[in-house]
Amino acid sequence: MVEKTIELTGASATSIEDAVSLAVARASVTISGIYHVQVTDVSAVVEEGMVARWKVKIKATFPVKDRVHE
Amino acid sequence: MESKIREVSPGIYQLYLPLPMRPSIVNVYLVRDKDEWALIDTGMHSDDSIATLKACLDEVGCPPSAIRKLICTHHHADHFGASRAHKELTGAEVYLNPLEVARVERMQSSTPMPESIAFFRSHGVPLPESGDGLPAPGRYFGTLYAPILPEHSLHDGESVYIGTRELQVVWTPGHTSGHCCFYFPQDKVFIVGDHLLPKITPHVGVYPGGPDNPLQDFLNSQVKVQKLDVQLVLPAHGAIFTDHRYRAQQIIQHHKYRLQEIQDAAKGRPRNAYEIASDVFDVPKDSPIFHFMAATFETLAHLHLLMYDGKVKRIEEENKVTFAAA
Repeated sequence: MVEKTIELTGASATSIEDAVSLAVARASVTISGIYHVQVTDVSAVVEEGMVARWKVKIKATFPVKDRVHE
Repeated sequence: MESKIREVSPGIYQLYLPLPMRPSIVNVYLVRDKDEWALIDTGMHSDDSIATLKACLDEVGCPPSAIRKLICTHHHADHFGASRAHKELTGAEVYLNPLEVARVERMQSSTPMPESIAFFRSHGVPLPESGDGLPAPGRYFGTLYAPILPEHSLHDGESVYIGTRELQVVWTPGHTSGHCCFYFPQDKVFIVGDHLLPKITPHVGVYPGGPDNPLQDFLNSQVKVQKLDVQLVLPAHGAIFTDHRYRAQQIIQHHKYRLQEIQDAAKGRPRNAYEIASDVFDVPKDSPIFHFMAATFETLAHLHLLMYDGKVKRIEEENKVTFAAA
């Protein structure tokens, strides 16, 4: 089996967890079978002295599977 | 002229009719059983579209009078806009879901609707100050929308026959409240209108006089169609495809993501649907006001689903509506 890993950045006004969850949900619209993510970086955007958005960089991994032609 | 018709399944023909907008083509379908034909959807009421349809009928050897039924998925201009002209051309009987008939009547209003303008403003759509801000519904599409009221109602689960070929009506509310798909059990062919498009997701929005939670209806309809045994999916825009369940699941996942994104955007200070839409949709600043409205009302459909799920709350103050985390 071969797996593929892609890098994504998610952003959330609420939390680091939500930023990860959003990135995974978006990637899952077009990619089937993401089963593991690794958070590789965490940062925040600051506006007017407050954290406005959390940003997380993730690596998402899924198996490469061919579909059978019917 | 390049051919705009092809047989996609025995006795079922796909026609590509031009649209003066994006998407630039609507697929309508001709279905035959021996000498009897039916047309599924109409295209817009433009000279170009009507000429294309006539050329297709010539090419396939279908005299207009052989079309006995005009069966439509929903009331929108690219699906029902030429129904009056096609009725006059063919003498066919017209079929549409009753919930769509109500929208057809509304779309023909020649005066602006004050409650619609109040609704749009309450959700933050920046309508111009001058005048009433919006044309009357009957003028949105000008002569491109020339509908006729149908003789027959389409209801969920009932069958309509084209000769001896059975067409089953599958009511799929969401994109519009009376949207219907058409299933041919003998061929396992599924004509899906705008419900299941291969590359784009159909617009689902909250509008004055429409259902309050259309996105929930739409998601339920995506689950519903997966119960059918389908070999060929015939959409109104884009290429034909085979795996309807895979695409329905993708569309459900798309909205799960968007719900999460919109719920996240509603955290912090209360914001209106237009502000939240500006975060989640990419609408260029110089776009027509209708594009901003579509983005706002699709965002509103997500906010309403979240509200019914208890995840956001709706705040109404002085005719302004905002949303915040529940």
